[in-house]
Order: sequence, then C-alpha cells, then structure tokens
Amino acid sequence: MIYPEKILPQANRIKINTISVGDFYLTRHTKEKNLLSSDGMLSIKAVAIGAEKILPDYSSSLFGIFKSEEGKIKIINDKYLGYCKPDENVTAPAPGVDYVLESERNFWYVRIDDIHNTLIKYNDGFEAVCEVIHTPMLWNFWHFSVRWFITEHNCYWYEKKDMDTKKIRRKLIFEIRSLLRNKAVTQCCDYNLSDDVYQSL
Amino acid sequence: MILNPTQNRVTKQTYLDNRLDSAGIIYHDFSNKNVNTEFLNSGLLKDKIRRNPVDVSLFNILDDNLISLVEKYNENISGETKRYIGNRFVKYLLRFLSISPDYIDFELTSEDSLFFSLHRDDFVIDIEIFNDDFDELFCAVYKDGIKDESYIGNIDGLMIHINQCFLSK
Repeated sequence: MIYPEKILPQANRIKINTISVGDFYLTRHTKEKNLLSSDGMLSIKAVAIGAEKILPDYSSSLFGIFKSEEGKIKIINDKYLGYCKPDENVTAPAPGVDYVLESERNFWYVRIDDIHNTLIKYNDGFEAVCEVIHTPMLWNFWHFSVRWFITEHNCYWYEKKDMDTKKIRRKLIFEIRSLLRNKAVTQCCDYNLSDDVYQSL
Repeated sequence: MILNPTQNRVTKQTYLDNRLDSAGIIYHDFSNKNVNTEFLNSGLLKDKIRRNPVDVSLFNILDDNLISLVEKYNENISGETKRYIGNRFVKYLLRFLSISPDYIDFELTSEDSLFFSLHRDDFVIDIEIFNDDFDELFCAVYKDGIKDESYIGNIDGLMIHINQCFLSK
C-alpha cells in the first residue's frame, strides 16, 4: 500500500477545534479479536489493559478521512513519531522502511463528546477532567490525544511524573477503563468531515 | 465473562482450586436473595457437570481469565498468586451478589487487578480491586449512561455507596 497522503500534515491544514468535532468519533486499534464482553459492552482487554504506560497521554485518531485501512499502519521509524504543526511539510513514509501494515488489527470507536470534558470526582475530593485534544503527528495529521487534567495540581497527568503517585494513577487508570467500557463502541458509520474543520479555506 | 443469570434467575459461579482438587461453588438465588456456597471434590464436580451441562460454561471463569492473561502477556502467574486472586474473587463476589445484580461481568487485568461490572436494571457499576491494597476499591456507578461521583474506600463503604446510588435515582 502506498502511504495515504490524506493522513499527512500538509499546507493549509489547521489545528482542529475539539468542539467542532464533538459529534464525531475517535478510533483506536487493538489486537484483541473479541472486542465485546458477554454483557455487550466493550471488553477492557480491548481498550485499556496492557496499555497502562500510555494511558496518561492516550493516542487515538479522528475517524472520517482516517479510516480503518489507515489504522493498520504501524510506524517503525521513530522519526515520524513526533508531534508537529498541522501544516508541516512531511515526506511520506516509505513502506517496509518507515512503516508496515498490521492487517490483523481490530478497531473500536468513541464519540468525542461522550468523553471530552468529562469531570471525574471522587468522594475523597480528587478531581480530574478528561480532555480530547488535536495533536498532529508527523505520520498522522488526524492524531488526537486523550489527556487528564488534575485539578488540585493544575496540570496534566502526563506532564508531571512526581505527581504520578500510585493512588492518582490507579484512580485515573480505573476511570479510563470504566469510561471506555461504558462509552466506546465497536462499529462506526462512515462519514466525511467538512473541509473547514481541518483546513483554512 | 458473565456470571450468567439463568432463566430461573439463579446465578451460579464456581471457583476451582486445582491444588486442593476441589471446587467452591457459589449460588445466588434471586428469588429468595440467598447466597450459598458448596464445596465439592473433583469426582462430585465432574458428576455435577455431567448431570447439568448448562453449568459447564460457568465453570473455570477465573482459570480462563488467568490463562488468557498468560497467553496475552506471556507472563507466568504463580500458583500462590492464582490462589490469592481466587480467594479475593470469591470474597468480593459474595458481597456484590448481595445487591442482586442482573448479571456480572468480570475481567482480570495485566496488573492482576480484578475488574467487576455489575448490571442491575439501568445501572452499571464498575468496580476495580488491586492486588496489594486489601481494603481499597474503586467504583464508578452509571445510570442510563450518566456517571455518578466515583468512590474509593473499603468494601463496607462501597456497599453503602452503591445502595445510596440506587436510592437517589
């Protein structure tokens, strides 16, 4: 497969405002074959088990122009894994050198407004807010991050390692597991994004 | 994995301890709210399975989870850890059954934590118990998809919290 240019940052592309895509879906791949538990909800094995290290800054992609075919791309050259400007000029990754395809991947989806700005409150006073943020990467303009803002520390979970105590970490890991299990789905309708959402006209 | 509500609304779950060559069986009868336990040796267990094939799918839930974790992460889980997890599984399951869930979903995580989802009417109650914090449970309650305040604390406080959520809706 030739690398799909439509997923690369390019001239005229702009940072996507989360509010403007609230009704759209984020997608993420999994190697789990059985995505659903027997109760019809998403298995947490499919969404957030084994991914504990990356949960503080959880990667996903905006579904629409980025579809399941693009979700099978696995970047193997680290130089493409950095964040960048939305209009960055990037040379397309080369097959076999910069990326390979993982055809056995499955996908789950979550509607952005179902998780964005979700406030987590605990009975012991702990509070955090889930935020969905457009974070273009060199290999994928459609890359979004799911991050957690810790109210009492006034910063994001991923920003501050010394804040990552076991208790905070476990609260947030539990919340992600629970939130995705309750909100994520295994199918998503095909749709197109309006041009003005992601490029200057 | 579900602790299956059978048509007559009786939930049965087994915990097999291969070391002891026996099984503890938990029954939850929704009609009279009783929770019963029963221990069988392997001969009686096989006989029970043979006589009641419906129950077969309910056997080995914990072992299945452990096996799938070992396969997924290629990690060894010692017999001692298995027994420890198993004991906690049974201990907490008995408490959770007391709120008469319609059904229960259960997964083990790669951190050996136990993740339960209890369903009752329009409620979904997610509970996670980590292996090293004996009396600290995490809980999130959803009603029609809308989440309540989360809870952290011991099992007694958790049961009060869940019942308060039921009453407040």
